[in-house]
Amino acid sequence: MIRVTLAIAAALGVLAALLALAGVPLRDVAVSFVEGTTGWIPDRGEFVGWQPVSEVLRRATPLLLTGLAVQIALQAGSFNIGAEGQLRVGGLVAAWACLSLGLTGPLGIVVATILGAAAGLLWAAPAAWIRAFRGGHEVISTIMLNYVAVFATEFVVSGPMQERPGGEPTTAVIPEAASLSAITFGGGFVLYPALLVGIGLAILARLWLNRTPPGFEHRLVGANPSAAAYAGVKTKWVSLRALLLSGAVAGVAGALHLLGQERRYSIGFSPGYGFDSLGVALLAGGHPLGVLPAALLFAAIEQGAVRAQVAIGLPKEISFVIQGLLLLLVAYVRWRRRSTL
Amino acid sequence: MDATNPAPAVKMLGISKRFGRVRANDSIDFTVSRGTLHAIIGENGSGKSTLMRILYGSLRPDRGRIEIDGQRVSFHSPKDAIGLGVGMASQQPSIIPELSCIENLLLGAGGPFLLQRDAAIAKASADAKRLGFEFEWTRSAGESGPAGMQKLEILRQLWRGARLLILDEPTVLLSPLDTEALFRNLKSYVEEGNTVILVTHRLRDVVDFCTHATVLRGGKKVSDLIVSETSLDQMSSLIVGETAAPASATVGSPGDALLSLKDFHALQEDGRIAATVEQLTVRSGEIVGIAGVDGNGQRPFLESLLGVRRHKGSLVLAGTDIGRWSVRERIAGGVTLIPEVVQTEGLVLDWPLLDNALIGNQWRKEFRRSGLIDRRSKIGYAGRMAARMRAKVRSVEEPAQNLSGGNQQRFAVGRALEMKPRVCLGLQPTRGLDVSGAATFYEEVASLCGEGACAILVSNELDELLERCHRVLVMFAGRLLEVPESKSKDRHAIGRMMVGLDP
Repeated sequence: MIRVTLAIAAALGVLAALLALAGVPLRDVAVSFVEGTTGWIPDRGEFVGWQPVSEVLRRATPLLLTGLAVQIALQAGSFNIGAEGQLRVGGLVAAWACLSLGLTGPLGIVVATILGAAAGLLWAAPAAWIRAFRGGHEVISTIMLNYVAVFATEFVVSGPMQERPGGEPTTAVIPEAASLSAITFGGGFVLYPALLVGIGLAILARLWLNRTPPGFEHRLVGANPSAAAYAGVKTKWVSLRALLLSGAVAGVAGALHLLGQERRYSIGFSPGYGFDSLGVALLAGGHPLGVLPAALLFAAIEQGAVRAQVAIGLPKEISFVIQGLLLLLVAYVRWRRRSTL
Repeated sequence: MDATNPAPAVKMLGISKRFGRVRANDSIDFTVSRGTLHAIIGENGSGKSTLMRILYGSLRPDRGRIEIDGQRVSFHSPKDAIGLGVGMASQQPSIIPELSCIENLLLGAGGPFLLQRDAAIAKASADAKRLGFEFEWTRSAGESGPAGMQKLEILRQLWRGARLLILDEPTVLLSPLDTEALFRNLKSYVEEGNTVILVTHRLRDVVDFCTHATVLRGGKKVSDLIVSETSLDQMSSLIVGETAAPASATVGSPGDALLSLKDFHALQEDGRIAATVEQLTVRSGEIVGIAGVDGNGQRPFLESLLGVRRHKGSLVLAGTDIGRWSVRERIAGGVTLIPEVVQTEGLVLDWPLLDNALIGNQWRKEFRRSGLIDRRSKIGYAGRMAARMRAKVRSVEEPAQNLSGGNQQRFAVGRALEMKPRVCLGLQPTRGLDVSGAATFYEEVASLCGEGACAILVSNELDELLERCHRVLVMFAGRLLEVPESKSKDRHAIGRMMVGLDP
């Protein structure tokens, strides 16, 4: 924990040096990041409201769920690069469920989410099968399935499920009654229910991994497959289950993102949550609950960068630089710790 | 190194190293003369491996100085040590099984940019001959089995030009023939002015092959001995700090048949036969030893009894055919296997000991309270399994990699015993254990068997098997052979069977 904090501090140090070299006023950058993520204006000592915090939480929600998906596979020793594709098919299937099946109300939301989970699971299934029983590496197969997902969903929203023929490549907007609306509190604080689902799933995942026999077997396969086999674990089936579960959680992420935020599936449905989630999961290390602070940190960096672009014209792509530096340094401290033992 | 240099090959002065609260090495002075075969002996956790890892540069001492050939040195990594001609073959070889034997030698050895395989093989064969080994250079190292990889690890040190060779338990996996060949050739190696330091628990090897010995106990040096002036008894009492109790022979006589095999074949992945047992009945209370040169089918045989490998034929436990049972069902039914290399097959080294305690026990109800795995029961169990084999454990919260190699073995063996199996299977269960650890193990197995269990133990330590088992069988070329009654205690006859010379 101390090491990760040090790594974050070091990443900020390197960033400051780079910005200073480029002639960017550091103080202004810092101020706009603080304003953009907390709503507190340091110069005036004034709190402008909960809107920036709510915005960080909104951005963190899909990152949390997809990060959790990647983390679950990682715990069993599989690297699911396919969260992006699983998220997209999960979102599209949820949209289809609302538009074509006419699902509405709380029950409708639950059913649409479950269908999204099933879609994510099925999308991960070929990669899971190949990994468990054919020895093909899941990194390759899940990357490939991402391309299939991106173009297949694009085809669907440019044709079969397109809102207006000849119009934008998007589905129609789902009815208000079918969506998972945000709750607005006093002071402008907006809560996205999907965030609570993400936190709940993370707690459940932790409990399952640490306190139940199947969860223990899941971790054992990730840590030492030979020892797992001697301990009576069916390692191939556990690998298979790990990627299927991971796909299902990414599918839930997609469904909730659709029901709660996007409300329609367009080709811009995901700006790459599935890829950012790899960083979130790596930053979280081996802790299922670690995805929560990691997702918040990633979201805050993006939100702060947006604010810095508006305030002082710093390109918001600086967020990628920060995230990249962070991952490099965290990977470095973790690697050092291992090598000294 | 210059053969005429009068300075000792190694001089370590006042070496101290702490791990947390444990003094692994406490002001150790250690000198080795050039051209000697020098043994370091001591119990598990006495600090032998730590001292050698310091000499090899993979650990840095807290205090103390090191001289090689009279020159003061300070190693920052094994690379520095290798540069000065120091080589160490460790207990867990760093051989990559997927690479061929020759590629493993070339790995990290520098040399020209383009690999010249044929020239390399010629040189490697010459080096191997110096040690009395033979390899099929172009086949993958993994195919040569654990013993082959161990040999390759030793050879690699010569390949890198080691003139001071540190061998950590080199012979545990080797057959008696290979061991003898190795030591014979090491003798001529040291006669050329090179030096060998041997870390071992096998006092017989020390007496037969070494000239000097240093005894460590509890991180301190106890004594420097000249082997020709000492005896096995003196060494073993110096090691434990008191006169060792004479080993008690097995007690109790076997009862009814517990495990029966008939026309039993352990299969490989592709369905070919890896080991055959025509007929074997192990009775309740019986300890059966299996002797044999490594790689003759012992491992597939025991693995198929546990069920991680398929088999054909009949396998009956207490009247029930368990041939179709899964591994999990067999574990629940009382079958347990001590793996050959506990570090890679039995433990997760970066997990705390209490999670390691759960491996293999994960479905047992006693570990759960209201449906969830309960921490307190893990703590209790981990403590009991450490106690059973007297593993030195400071806290069950610490990761397994904090234990010394011997204590990891004790902990993993303790887990198998604490499962209270009905059929206890062991693949080299006393590997890396000192004399008292091995004795504790056999006493625990005997007491399990006294309560009605049975055991099948595979070991390279023929003397140990003859002393501790009710009967010893031989595995050769994938077949389990009965030793004729008249020769059942004749170690030479059994040794000949192990290499296929007698029926």
